[in-house]
Amino acid sequence: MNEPNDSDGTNEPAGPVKRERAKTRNLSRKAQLEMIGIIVIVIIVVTVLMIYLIYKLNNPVNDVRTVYINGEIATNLLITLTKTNIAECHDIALSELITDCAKEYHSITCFGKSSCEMVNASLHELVSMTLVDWNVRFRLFVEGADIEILNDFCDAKANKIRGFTVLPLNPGQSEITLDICN
Amino acid sequence: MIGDMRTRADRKAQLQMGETVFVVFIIIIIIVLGLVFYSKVREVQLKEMQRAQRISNFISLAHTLSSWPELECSVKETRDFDCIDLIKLGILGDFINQSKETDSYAFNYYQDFLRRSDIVVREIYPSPQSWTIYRNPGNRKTRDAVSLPVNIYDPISKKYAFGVLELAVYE
Repeated sequence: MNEPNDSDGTNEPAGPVKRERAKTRNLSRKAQLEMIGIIVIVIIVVTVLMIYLIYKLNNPVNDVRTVYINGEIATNLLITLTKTNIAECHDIALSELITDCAKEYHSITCFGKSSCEMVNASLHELVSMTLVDWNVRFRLFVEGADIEILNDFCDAKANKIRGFTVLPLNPGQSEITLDICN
Repeated sequence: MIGDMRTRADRKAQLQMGETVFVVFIIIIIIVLGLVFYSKVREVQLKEMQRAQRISNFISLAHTLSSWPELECSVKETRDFDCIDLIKLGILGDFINQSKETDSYAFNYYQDFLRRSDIVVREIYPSPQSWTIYRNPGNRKTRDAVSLPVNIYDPISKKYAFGVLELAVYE
């Protein structure tokens, strides 16, 4: 049965056995190709999953708690700050001092200090004991008095929460804004 | 020759059987991995839901406390926002602490409302001092905390001090 193949001069078996071997070789080559295909698909699936997980981890969902807390702080702080009576200035409310500072002619003096100096000092003191202590990134701006307090403030594109309050002047108004970075 | 072909057919059948077993084995592994992955995803989802529920309770409590009738400032029945009455503050803190010591109904009432939490009011300006209104941390580890700015109003001197309401909720 296993006769030498005379045509190509080798000792390869001829006939159905040779065909069978060639068929087996083709099958194994096909199997190898299929295996490579499966590996490629697995690699693609794993890569897509990894990209999805990395994206999910780097972009956490907007935290409701942080948004709520920053919103409450932004609005509450401005309301409470403006109502606070300043002990170093005859217990006058900070809102009155801001109003006086924003006017063209200042009428309040606090033991040798002008209302603007007092507002600046009081705001810095109160804010440093709260927002700065809590590591909150913010920008506090008092329009009219031209007072700006910054603490590691975020860039323009960053997500921020704004609180503002308006103090009436006569004429006009002074607006106090507090931007907190989320 | 026939015997040789039969042996080859047997070997082919064996190979095909092996292949089938291998495929079934791989499919079982894939199904198990899928189940493990699904259960992990579900676990994360449930934890997220639990966290959302906790945050919702926390926000609701913080919101209620900022206008709590036991503490709020009111002049001629007009409410003042983000303001705590200094006299009410002292009385409420003492009342809750005494109720806790005597294990009376009042403490149960506040426990039902405030659950496992700490509530402290801290005056920051002009004279730093603090009042512990409620303390019931239990033995829970998870803690959500917030400090909300408030005014502390003295109805006798009619002055507003600057302070914070510190709320910590344990779950």
